[in-house]
Amino acid sequence: MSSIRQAKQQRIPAFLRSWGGVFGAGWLIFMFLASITARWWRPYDVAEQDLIARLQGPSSEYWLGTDAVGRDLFSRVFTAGALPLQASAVMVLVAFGIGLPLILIAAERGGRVEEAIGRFAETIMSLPSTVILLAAIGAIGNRIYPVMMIFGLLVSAALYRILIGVAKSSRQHLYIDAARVDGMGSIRVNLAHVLPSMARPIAVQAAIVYAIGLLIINGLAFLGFGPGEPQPSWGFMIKDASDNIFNSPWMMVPSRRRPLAHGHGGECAGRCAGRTPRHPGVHPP
Amino acid sequence: MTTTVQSNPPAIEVRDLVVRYGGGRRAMKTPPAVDGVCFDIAPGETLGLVGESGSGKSTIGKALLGLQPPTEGTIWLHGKDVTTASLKERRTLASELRVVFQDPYSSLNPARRIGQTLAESLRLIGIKGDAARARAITTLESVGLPSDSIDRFPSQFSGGQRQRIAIARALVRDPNVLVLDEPVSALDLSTQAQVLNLLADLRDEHKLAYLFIAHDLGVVRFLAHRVVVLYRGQVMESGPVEDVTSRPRHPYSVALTAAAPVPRPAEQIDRRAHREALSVGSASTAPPDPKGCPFASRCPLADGQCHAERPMLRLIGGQRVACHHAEQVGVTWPPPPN
Amino acid sequence: MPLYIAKRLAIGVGTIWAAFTLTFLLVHSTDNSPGAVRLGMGATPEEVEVENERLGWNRPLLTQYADDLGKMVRLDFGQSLINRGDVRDQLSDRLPVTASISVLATLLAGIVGTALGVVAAVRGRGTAKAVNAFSGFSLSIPSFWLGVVLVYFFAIRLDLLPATGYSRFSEGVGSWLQSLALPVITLAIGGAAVVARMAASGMREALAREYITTLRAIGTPEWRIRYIHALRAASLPVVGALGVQFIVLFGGSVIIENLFALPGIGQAALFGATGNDFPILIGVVVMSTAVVVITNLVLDLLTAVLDPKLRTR
Repeated sequence: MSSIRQAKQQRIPAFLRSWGGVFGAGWLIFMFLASITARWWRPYDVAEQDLIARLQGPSSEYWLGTDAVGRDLFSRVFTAGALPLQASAVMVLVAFGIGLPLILIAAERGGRVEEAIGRFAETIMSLPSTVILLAAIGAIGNRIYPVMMIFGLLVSAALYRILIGVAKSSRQHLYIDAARVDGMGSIRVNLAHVLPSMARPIAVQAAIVYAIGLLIINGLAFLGFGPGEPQPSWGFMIKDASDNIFNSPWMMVPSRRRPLAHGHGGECAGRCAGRTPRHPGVHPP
Repeated sequence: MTTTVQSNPPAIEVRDLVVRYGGGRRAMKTPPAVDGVCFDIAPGETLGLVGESGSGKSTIGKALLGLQPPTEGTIWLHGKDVTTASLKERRTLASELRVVFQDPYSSLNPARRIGQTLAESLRLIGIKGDAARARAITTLESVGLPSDSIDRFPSQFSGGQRQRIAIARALVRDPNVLVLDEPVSALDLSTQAQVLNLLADLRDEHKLAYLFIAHDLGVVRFLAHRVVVLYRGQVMESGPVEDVTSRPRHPYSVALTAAAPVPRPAEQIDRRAHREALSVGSASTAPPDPKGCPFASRCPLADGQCHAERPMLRLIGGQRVACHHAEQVGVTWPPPPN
Repeated sequence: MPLYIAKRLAIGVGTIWAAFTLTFLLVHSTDNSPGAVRLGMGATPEEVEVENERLGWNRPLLTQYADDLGKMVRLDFGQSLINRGDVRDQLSDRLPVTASISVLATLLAGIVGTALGVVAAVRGRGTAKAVNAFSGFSLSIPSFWLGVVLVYFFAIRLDLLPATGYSRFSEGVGSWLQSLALPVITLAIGGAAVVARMAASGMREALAREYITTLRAIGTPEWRIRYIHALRAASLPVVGALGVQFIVLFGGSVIIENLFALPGIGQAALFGATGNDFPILIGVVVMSTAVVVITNLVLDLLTAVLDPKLRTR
């Protein structure tokens, strides 16, 4: 009977088998939904100013306090989430969209093809990503989606470096050869056998890369490349808080909560999925 | 080996097969994994392919299956040239030529139910849904597994049962040639016997031709009609299994036969003395001289001719032997055990 | 070995070329033009056109590419569009600032990280969990948030260190170190977390090896086993991780420099991005890439010398 239980357990992803993983995943889902829907339930408009109640601590009226012009931090924190959450998701899609096909091709063909793709990835990985992103903003302007797509390109090289070994060892399985003897085409073998066997490391990397994307977006917003006032952004709220740190240290707390929560949620889900996140080349600023 | 009879071509015919791994100039310098191998298998016949690891026996199997493109030579399947057929072109042929791999833990996708694995193979030839399921169940029963195995995962089966599933996966497309790549080496002894018996029964029932790859002569003796002994990608000796195992003509075959362990301690002691008297060295890592006999560096009978001239296969008695001193083997050498 | 060096060198040159090409394409893919940037908001379209002509912006793209590439090889990045200064001079003034932040932060991360990792591997489960929690936390907080918090406590509350600004090395080592303390600590914490994890897993792996059991069996003192034998085995991956950390921290200093108002490369990158100063952008990208490439090269050679298995290549 234990073998049946084992088989059933296999369908539950490993990171949901520990409390840390459940917490991380649940927190991420909650934050994601809350941020995407914030515009419909937030208690105040993000631009609504209460000039009497400026730089206040938390109260029953303003749950997380107010900023320098008396805007509700609770509403702003949640509203600010939507853009980074979406832009980072686009970045992850681009990174995997470029990375995975290259990984699968290199793992299947081996030899010179793999060497050429590997060289290419190594070159991309050595590019200093933060500086490239600033250069991109300087050239094409403060447009978050195209900039994050360029970041996705840079990240795809790191993904290649991490996942190529997984893909190659996955192809060592004899059931891949058996499927090929069946007469299964290359694309079908990859979709039906190679990719599913890589699902766990792919999920781990996606979670880590997603968290890194959020941190990058917030870092850029901190430097002033956010959505622009009066639209809220986490990074700029930290910047705002640091400008007011002499007279209102409280502002640091809510503004920090969001980036941290997401970074930690992703990191936690990633780590609990069985692998210490180690990302050569990409790292939160 | 007689030439092909037009009306009844052999199930498999291999001529001058050469396989090199890798490409470019560096690969041309290293000796090929398979070097000029010829053999054929009649319908319903089992050919054993033996040799130590690195002898190229699995590479021959891969070349037949299309997993490793041959560098030179030709492979015919029922008279059709399949040497350069892509794996996709083989989809129609694949029903005729199937495989059972050595490791039953790696050859079944752990995330898929047995039924899905079998149905996937059938879908590629256009059999779907209930028809595929019915055929999968029949095949599983024919290899001695209960019909409810179809909804289980590979992790719920033992090694021997998994190997039966792998056989079912090969049989489900109703083939007539099977490549068996060391199908029992990963199993324990009692399971080995069961699986070998199953393979023998299936062969008689379905008139299957087997290419049986093994490193253990005892296992080959049980199943094969004829045997080919490989060393460093070259054929050392081939012939009916009884002749090669009981009266080997090549020093390497003698060493292989002597190496097979027996379950009786007293006899084992005798055989050890005998084996030591052969003074056959173990494999050296240095590549042999491409001009000479590949076995020369380990062979107690080797002389100047062996290092200078590669021996051709010659017909001696019932078998073909590639050795300059084949006439001595079994007569003046090896020395009789005392 | 010479072949190995030549190969790495070729890849490095390729990387710098790729960085230059990518930035060149980005700069040339916009509606903005250097003439408009240089003359500012008040200029008429005609004036901008004349200025672009003068700067050679209207030449065919390939001609400009070949020309700029040739100049880049001679380390000539042209003039800034904003302050009209020579880009190479400006950046070489700034490079020491960024380099000292990232070198100091890497050293600090290496020392603190190794210590934490060794403690986590050697002490019981509780310590290991605490270290793991610390590194998980440090990895997921944004460095700029951490920087602001450190400023609040050390500069504002305790008034121990200057909050912002840079004091040159020539103005005295003490004030130089003081001005770098907060940025270096901010940057090093994330790096220390990564190093701690690597060191801990390396130590654990080393301590589980059979030769360690043999050493115990023959009565080697425990401290010798831990700090001589196991630590030596664990040090090679840590050295590798430190190299990666240097590159990461060099990139991370972009944000930190802006937080602490330090006149480094990162600040130049930010000015360049805000002001659309194309020559500065290309210069910063190429120079940063060169730093990364040179660090990688030195590290490759270092590992080749340290690791006997690689020496024969």
